[in-house]
Amino acid sequence: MRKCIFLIISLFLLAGCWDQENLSDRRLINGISFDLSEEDPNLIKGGIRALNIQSQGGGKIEVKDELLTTEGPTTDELGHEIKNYVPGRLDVTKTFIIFIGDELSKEGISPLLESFYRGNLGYLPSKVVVVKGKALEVLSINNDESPIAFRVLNGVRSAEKNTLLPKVTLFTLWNKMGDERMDPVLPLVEKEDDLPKITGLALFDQDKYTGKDLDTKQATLLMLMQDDLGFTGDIFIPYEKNPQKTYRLSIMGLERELNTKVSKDGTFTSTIDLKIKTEINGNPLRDSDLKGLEAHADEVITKRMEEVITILQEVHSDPLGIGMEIASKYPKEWKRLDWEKEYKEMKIKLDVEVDIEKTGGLL
Amino acid sequence: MSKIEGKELFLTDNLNQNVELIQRAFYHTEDLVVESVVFGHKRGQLLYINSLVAKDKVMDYIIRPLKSSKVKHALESLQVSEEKQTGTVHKLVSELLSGSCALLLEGEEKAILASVPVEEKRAIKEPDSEHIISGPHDGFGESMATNMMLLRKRIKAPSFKMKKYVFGHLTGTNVALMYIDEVIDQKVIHHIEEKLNSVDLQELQTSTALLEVIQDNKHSPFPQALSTERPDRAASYLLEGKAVLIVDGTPEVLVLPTTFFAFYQSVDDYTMHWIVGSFFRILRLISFLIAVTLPAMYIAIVSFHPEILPLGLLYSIRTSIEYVPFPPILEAFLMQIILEILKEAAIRLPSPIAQTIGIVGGLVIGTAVVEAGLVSNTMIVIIGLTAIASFAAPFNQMAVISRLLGFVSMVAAFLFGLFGIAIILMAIIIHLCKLESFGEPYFAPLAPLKTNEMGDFVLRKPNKNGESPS
Repeated sequence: MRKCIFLIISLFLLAGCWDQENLSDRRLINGISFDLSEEDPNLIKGGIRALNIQSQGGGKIEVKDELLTTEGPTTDELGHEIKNYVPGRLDVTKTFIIFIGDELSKEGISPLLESFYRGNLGYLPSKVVVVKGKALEVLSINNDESPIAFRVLNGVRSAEKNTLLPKVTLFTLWNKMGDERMDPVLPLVEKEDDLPKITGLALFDQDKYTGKDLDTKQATLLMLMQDDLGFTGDIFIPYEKNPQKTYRLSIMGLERELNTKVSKDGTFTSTIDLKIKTEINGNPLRDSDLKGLEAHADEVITKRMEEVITILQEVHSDPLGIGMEIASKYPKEWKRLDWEKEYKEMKIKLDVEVDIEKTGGLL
Repeated sequence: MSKIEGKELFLTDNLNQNVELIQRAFYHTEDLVVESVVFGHKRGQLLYINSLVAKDKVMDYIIRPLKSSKVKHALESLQVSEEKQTGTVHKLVSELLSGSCALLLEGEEKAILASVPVEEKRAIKEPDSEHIISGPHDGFGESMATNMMLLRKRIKAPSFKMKKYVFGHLTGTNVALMYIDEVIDQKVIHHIEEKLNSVDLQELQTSTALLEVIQDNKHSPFPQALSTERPDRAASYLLEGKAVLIVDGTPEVLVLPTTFFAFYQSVDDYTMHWIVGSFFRILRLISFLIAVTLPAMYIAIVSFHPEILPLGLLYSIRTSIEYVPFPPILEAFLMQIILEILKEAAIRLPSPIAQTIGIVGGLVIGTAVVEAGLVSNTMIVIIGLTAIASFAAPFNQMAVISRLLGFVSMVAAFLFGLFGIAIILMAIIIHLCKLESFGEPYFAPLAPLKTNEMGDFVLRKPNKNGESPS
């Protein structure tokens, strides 16, 4: 009986009715932007779009949202500041997307995002996106109207499905941001004709934006090298005899092997073995020489991938996880390694093999 | 019953004194008829209670044979089926009360008893509370003899036996315990008999009253015996090795011991294909969960954890509760109570008026309450679903219990959110696992786990040759 009383009393130490937060008191935020302040480079300019849902009767809902901006030195202070503008409690549990301006992301993104990891209310599946230019400009598209965050979000999601962008969320970002052995990549968005457009991948060195990007075609190749195939993926290869036209290979399956070896003089060599099973899905010139198409695709993809690797090495961004491979395989060597220097100089070999397994009924 | 002044009274050989004795035992009631008859050369008195005996039978089988008889012995000339003689007032009184008439003869210390009860009974009708789609449509009635007949007609095994009990000092209600001796577990029947032997009641009017006295856990909200008005259902449980208690005067027959899952099985399951039967069985169990947890879930989510809602749902819920002045718990209580009142009001009204109540209550109050901004649309949907889910239970007892548990879990959800619901569900499951119905586990075959009995549990077992069905 005494035990029972103890248990009941201890219940009241847990969350109780005094912790209630009624849904109607919450202000839902669906998008956040971070930029460097124009006036003072030490300050961050933050913007949020808070939802303003209104029922119009008859089951119709009007979702409007308002844009609020403020400046402050840290994310937490921004949050504090912005509370003065909105009634009700700010709710970041439905913040699907966080835009970060390119200037600010060059200074490192982990201090910005840290407060989303703390506490229990951050929405970890939300996407982080780098904006070429001012993040606020993208966030403020269509002010007062339908939430722009969802537009970008849906774009990012479908790009992920088509192997144009890797799946990155706040949750998966955390490990890579703070880890020397692996670097994150983030989607890059640009404002074009008053509409947000996904232009490619922003390359990061730990949590700092390197300033270099990959376009979406290169992004697909990077993802193939990462063994990260979305729902579908397409590669367009120019014909050998007529480089103006391309044939389209849809990727059906992927086998990747990453091997890193250390030679006697202490230099590292990585080999990426790629077997790509494809289906030919567009063949405007009706070239029926499959072997030739395969061989040519091998060549073109290898060349393009080499370009990608060159860019990666140049800016010291390692989304392939070669550092991780070395650190776990050769921990002794890793400790005395100057990875910054080594990565730029090391050899990354490619061995690509493209199989056209299906041709459809037309060839 | 009537041991006057606490000691056993015996008849004497004085006729008038005997009559006086019996009249005194009945507190000189005026419907105790005393008729003089002359048999041979002896004077006799015929006693019976006016309302309990069939007059024509008294005439045909007692008075007429006595008058025309040439035999000297009274017993031989009476043509009634059940003949007894007794010398004690106590026995005489109880026989008179159950519809016998007594013949007292001058100079004899024993009365001749002849059972000539009046038999008034309702036609056999399908019970209103347990309708089924296909299957037998007869139902138990108020008469114990008819009820026993309905069961005996279904089970012709000689080992199908009956034990008679009489409970209630004032009501003297007959109770029959019936079971198939070769099927039932002897331990179970001992347990039940022990319980029945300990019953000491002043009155017994319903089978529920008897159950309340004999059940193991008197405070559990869950009914520990299944009370049914369907003879086919009772018979199928008898065949499974359960016992049946019939209380004279109530059409509800108790099946014991029972399990929780028996309340979610219906005769329909067995008259339909086993896949269809299993589907509906699963549906009913899900509806129990809905009835207990759905409003609580809503309260917990709206007041503690809106982040678990997908965005689209969040929008519509948010807009619907935007201008509701009450906290969700009050909203839910309000609607649940309105619903219970509507149900309570409609039950006792004749059906045309009840329909009106349904329309006024359901449609008018439902829409008006939303338009007045008192309750949100979502809440109406939730409460409606909960009510329908609770009515999906084939037994009204369980339907009510699930709604009541719904109230408890709503309070818990309001206090502690999803955590509170988890605690309530845990408490219910712990209670169900611990509960016993007449010595048998209530939550079987889940706790304790009996895999060999799982065949007819959530799924309805298909019938096979060489095996007993159901």
